[in-house]
Amino acid sequence: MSVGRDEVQRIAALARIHLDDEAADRLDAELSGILAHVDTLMEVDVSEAEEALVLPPPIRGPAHPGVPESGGVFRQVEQEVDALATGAPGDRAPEWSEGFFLVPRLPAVDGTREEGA
Amino acid sequence: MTPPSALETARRVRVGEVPAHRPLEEALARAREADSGSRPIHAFLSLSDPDRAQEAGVSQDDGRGSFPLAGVPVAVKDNLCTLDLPTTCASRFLEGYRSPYEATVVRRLRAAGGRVVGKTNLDEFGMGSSTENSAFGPTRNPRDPSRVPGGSSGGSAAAVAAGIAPCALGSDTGGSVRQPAALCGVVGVKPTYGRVSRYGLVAFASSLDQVGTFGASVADAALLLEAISGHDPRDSTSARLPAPDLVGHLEDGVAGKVVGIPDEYVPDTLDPEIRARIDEASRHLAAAGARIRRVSLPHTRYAVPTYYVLATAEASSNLARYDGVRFGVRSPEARATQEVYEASRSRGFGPEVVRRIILGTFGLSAGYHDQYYGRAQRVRALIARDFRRVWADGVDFLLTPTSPTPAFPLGERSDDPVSMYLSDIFTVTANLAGIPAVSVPAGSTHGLPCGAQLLSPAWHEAPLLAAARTLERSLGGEQ
Repeated sequence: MSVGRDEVQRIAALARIHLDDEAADRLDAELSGILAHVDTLMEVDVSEAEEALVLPPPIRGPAHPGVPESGGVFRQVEQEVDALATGAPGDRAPEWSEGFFLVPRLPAVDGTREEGA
Repeated sequence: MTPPSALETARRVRVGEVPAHRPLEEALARAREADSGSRPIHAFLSLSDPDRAQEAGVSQDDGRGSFPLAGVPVAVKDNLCTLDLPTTCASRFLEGYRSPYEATVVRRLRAAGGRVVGKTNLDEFGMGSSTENSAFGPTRNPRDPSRVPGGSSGGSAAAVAAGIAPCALGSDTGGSVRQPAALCGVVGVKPTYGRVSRYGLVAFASSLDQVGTFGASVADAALLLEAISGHDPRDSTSARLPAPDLVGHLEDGVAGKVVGIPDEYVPDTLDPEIRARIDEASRHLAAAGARIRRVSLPHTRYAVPTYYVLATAEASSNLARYDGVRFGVRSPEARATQEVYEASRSRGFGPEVVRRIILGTFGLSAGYHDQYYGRAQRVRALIARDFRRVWADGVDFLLTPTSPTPAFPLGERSDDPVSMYLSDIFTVTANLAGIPAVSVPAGSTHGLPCGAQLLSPAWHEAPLLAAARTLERSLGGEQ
């Protein structure tokens, strides 16, 4: 099926990707080629198929006792986050303060640029 | 240029014949040498500095005692998080990004005494079959530097093929370990989905991604897989199973086993040289006591379109986090929040990633969801059912080619996405069904390496690698 430039631009907007018209036309041609291949799925009789696959695959045989996990992992992760917060961030982030990574302030949602951000 | 095997390196370090730091130093020297010529291999995006690893709090034990990977140099794909080296996914978006934690598989390989040589090149976020989609330039195939190494884990495959490291970590979403292993003439294993933790693997398509291993031999790939396997409570899809004993079963052979050859994987259009290599492999397995049987997996022809609908849908969701706020480059021109997202994502992602995000968003969008994503989910279930029926019919393994072609010249398929996607035609089914598979060198076609793929039921990695070992021995590989 052919997608069309306008539809590609609509999808790109949903994906938060800016495309100029030239890029949209190129993607239109590529997507149409890919979708022609994908459209072979329409010939499959899926009436007997389950809606989704179970993953990981079921384990046969006696159940293994596994590794106790109750609470342990969260405590461990918390400890690591604490260590990160109190330790020197080193070169992992450009700016750092009181346990938080500092990132550039976002422009206002309504489009007006906030000065001094 | 061939370094000692991982097994031999670990043995020498354990008995004190070689200091634990020496194999890493030698691997680093080989990595620099491989990039010094007029046609650099460019397997690595960054190399380890052992001093810096210590500063970052990475354990550098003395490698003595019972450590199975004592002193063994391991190359690590750059979509696995490491403390001491950047994690870029070969994307401008993550250039210079340093993870605050390590992937479970990296922790485990270090805990087993292994040493990270460096981070290897890949197609951006794992999206590609040639490693040409890296924002930092392609990797060359050490067997023929005018050709691609395959992908997306092309840097890891090239590092092993060039003799820089005896084993490496990659990730396999649709064949990204097995296809480059085949094209570079090394061993590549994709374990059962859930066998290895994905914690710290940067997500591409979460229901398909699995960390896998490369080795110069089946034994080295098995040794590394054993070290990284096992339950991890930090990955909810990790199975509650202990790490399997793989190395201990490598010589179990294939006597009495049934090997199926699916008709759909040896079509009339298959390159006759590749067909001849698969015929030869089946004769070797038969000579070792296996029974060979023709089988059918009727939904195979729908695997590539199914894969590209599902993988791109998952990718469009997973990559939403790269917005210029939480991660990555932020466009300085943006004046509003929406503009920050759009401008940052348009500048940060390469063309293949954009193509896949758009395709994935399309397949999930209102009006198309049931037609594409919903249908592909059901076809995926039918593909998995094909495999279950073959196993239920008494088949132990399947034998197929790994790739429909040998390594192709750099640039040949860059402008033809469908042709590039079809590189994965024999490998995506294992990811869709969640089952394990291994690619073993099976001689050469057109003067280039050719891989034979073996697949088995879920959780059967030990017999699968024993069969791979049988094939390797009979085809004149590692003795």
